[in-house]
Amino acid sequence: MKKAIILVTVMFITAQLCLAQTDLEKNESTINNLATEMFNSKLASYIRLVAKDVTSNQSGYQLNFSLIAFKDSTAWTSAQNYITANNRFLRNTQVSLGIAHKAKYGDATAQVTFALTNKRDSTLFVYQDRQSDQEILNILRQATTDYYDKLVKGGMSATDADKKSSAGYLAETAFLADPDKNKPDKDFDDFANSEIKKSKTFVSSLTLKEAWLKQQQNFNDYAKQVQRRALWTLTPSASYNYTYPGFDKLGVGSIYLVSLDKNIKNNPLQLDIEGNLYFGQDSTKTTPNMDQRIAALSVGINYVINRNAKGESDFEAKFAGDFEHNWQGGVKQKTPDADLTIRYNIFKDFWIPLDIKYDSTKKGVFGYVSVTCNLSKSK
Amino acid sequence: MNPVTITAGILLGAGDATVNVFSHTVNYSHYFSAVSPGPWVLALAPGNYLVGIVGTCPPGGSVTINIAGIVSSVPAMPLPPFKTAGKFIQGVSITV
Repeated sequence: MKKAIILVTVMFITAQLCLAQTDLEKNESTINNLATEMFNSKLASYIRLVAKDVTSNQSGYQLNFSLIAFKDSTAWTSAQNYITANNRFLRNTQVSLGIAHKAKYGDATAQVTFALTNKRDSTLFVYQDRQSDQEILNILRQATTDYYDKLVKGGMSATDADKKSSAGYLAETAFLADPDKNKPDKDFDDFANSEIKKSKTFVSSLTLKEAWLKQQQNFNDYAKQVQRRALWTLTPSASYNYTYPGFDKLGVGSIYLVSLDKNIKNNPLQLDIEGNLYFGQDSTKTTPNMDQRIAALSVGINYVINRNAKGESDFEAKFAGDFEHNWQGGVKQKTPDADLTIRYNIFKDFWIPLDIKYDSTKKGVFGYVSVTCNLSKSK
Repeated sequence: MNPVTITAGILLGAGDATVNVFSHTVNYSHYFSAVSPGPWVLALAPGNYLVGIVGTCPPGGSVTINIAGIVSSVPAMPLPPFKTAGKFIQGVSITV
């Protein structure tokens, strides 16, 4: 009952924090929106809140934040957010602070994650389609001239023909910008569609609207491809046991995350390799120590089961095998574990990961529920 | 001839904008990006011109366009920032 109350409370608080960002600047189809939840769990775009394993006796709370979150936090409600090569370090550095409540004692954990390779960040890529952009403008200019000439030849005065062809041009650009809201001048649109057939840049069977939508689609496809690029991080970490008190874990970890399937039409399929080397607490001893010398390796596959209409992941499953070796003398080695994590997006940035572990030592299956929320500017 | 100044503000550094200014007798083009931010100064004879603006808004950023040194424009200057990530297009009519 107590666990259920804690879970509901944590969900409520996290939901409030998630909903509080609805007034922030909104951008659709941004690349960060296309990140899988597993990617967010490795490197936060801005701020990430985690209530971990809230149903177990080893629950904990974690705050992850990118250093960039503090640099531009005052500008979150405006469009201004300068991220350049000069502050790339801030974007690629994450600090994690956590508290874990274990059965007998409590741990405070501090981690710093450096992204050694991060080719996914939306703020760092450059997309340019200069030739096609110029060709769109050339077609519009030529259609304006053709329309004007037709009107003058039809007996209209030069002044009126100029006004009408200019109005046709403005209507056409408004139509291209938002085809659902605006309608083109049909005569102008016919000239534009005739002109595009002479273009060497676009396929001649396309109308101008179709060519423009194709350019937008090219951008969206590029955005999806960016999200399938590699992420490699390095994370030194330390845990301080405030019950003893004393340090009970020091180590370094590294994560490599990459998509195995580069076809953007398919749901992302990601390979996640995580390695850790650390000195840890031998819990069989009653005094503070770091006698365990452990190398841990986790190899997993994460699959996005479902994406919403915008192409954003909202349901993921990851299957992983965990291996561990302890160099501490006189201890029995742990046998490999199997781990299934199901992440479901409840609403907005509010996720419920369910972690199901097969513990080969205890010969049992255990389930843990967490609650996460990603606070970000560009959603 | 009147000096007309066109400026583009590209936030985040990964966006761009191609701007054309044309009439029946002239056609000028300029490319704005983080490495070629302008401003672009044109000497135009008094009269009416059309302006075409096409570019890419970087994710999480924005592109702003302003045309100064003109009598009037439709729509009015400065244009509202392009904020939605992806391609954008805007037609403008100016009187110099």
